[in-house]
Amino acid sequence: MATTEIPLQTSARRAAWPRILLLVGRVVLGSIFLISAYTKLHFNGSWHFGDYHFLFAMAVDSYNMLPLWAVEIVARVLPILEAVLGAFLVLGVGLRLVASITSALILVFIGAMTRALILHIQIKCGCFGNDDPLTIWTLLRDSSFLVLALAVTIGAFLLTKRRDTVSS
Amino acid sequence: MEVFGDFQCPACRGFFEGTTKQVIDDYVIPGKVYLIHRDFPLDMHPYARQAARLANAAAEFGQFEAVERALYDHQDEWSAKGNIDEIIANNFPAAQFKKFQAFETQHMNEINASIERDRSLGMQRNVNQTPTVYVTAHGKTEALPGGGVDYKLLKSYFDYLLRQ
Repeated sequence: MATTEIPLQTSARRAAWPRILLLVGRVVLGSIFLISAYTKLHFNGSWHFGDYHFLFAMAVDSYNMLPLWAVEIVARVLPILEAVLGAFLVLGVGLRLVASITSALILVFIGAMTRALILHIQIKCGCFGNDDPLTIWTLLRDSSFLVLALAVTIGAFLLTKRRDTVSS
Repeated sequence: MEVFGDFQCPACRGFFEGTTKQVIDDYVIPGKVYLIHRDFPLDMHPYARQAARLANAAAEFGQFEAVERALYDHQDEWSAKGNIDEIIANNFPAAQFKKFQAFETQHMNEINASIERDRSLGMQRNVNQTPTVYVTAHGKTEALPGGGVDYKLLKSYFDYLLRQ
């Protein structure tokens, strides 16, 4: 009896590790997105639900990538989208879809930042509030977020696939 | 609205031409916005201080804005050789320009000290590029993203603040 129980426990522990890693990964990634949204909505000592988009629109526009009408939409939507994605990641809701959107979003951010650095446009990143300068370090930091987001996305798909295989 | 600027900086010229001029026409002249220029001559621009001194001297005669416009409008012409007086003099009556020059010479130390005060204030606020713009309204000061701001976006922001 004892010889059969120990391998079962070890195997169960092994099977739990990917889930624990995925849990940690999605909570960290979700927290990063929640912090990013928070810094865009709460600055200078108070919440700015009514006017956050004015300053953020200026930061988005400084990238010189979008027409003004698109800048205004992005400025209004992005902080809310970041908050929703962050919350869903932390809660583990719709993980495959949410993690995929998050990865795509970070990829877009990195593309915009790389372009600005190549063109030597001296701007603020706009990633965590209005005072976050855009440097090579900012790019490396966001690249590490992309690695994490991709790991969470792949993990979410693999674990769901494994669960589907087991249940069938 | 406070603008930390450098007269030799191309981004400051772009901001002045594209945004500040319209802010002056639409908000400053009608008395809706108070505009403050802060000198923040960057070390990389050898003639920026000289230009700032002339603008400060002209301010004593109520001609700061006229000199500021002339400095930015002709930035390409004077920024290579530093022949500021030669270029800017053409935009003013000779007698008036001589007054600016005389005041600048007589009050060189005070003007330099004033420029330094602005620079120190900028350093305290972690200004690290020009133009850097701050907007103070209802007792709160916000730093706008560095490098200048599109007029339409700034206008929306001002209109919002003025409605509060």
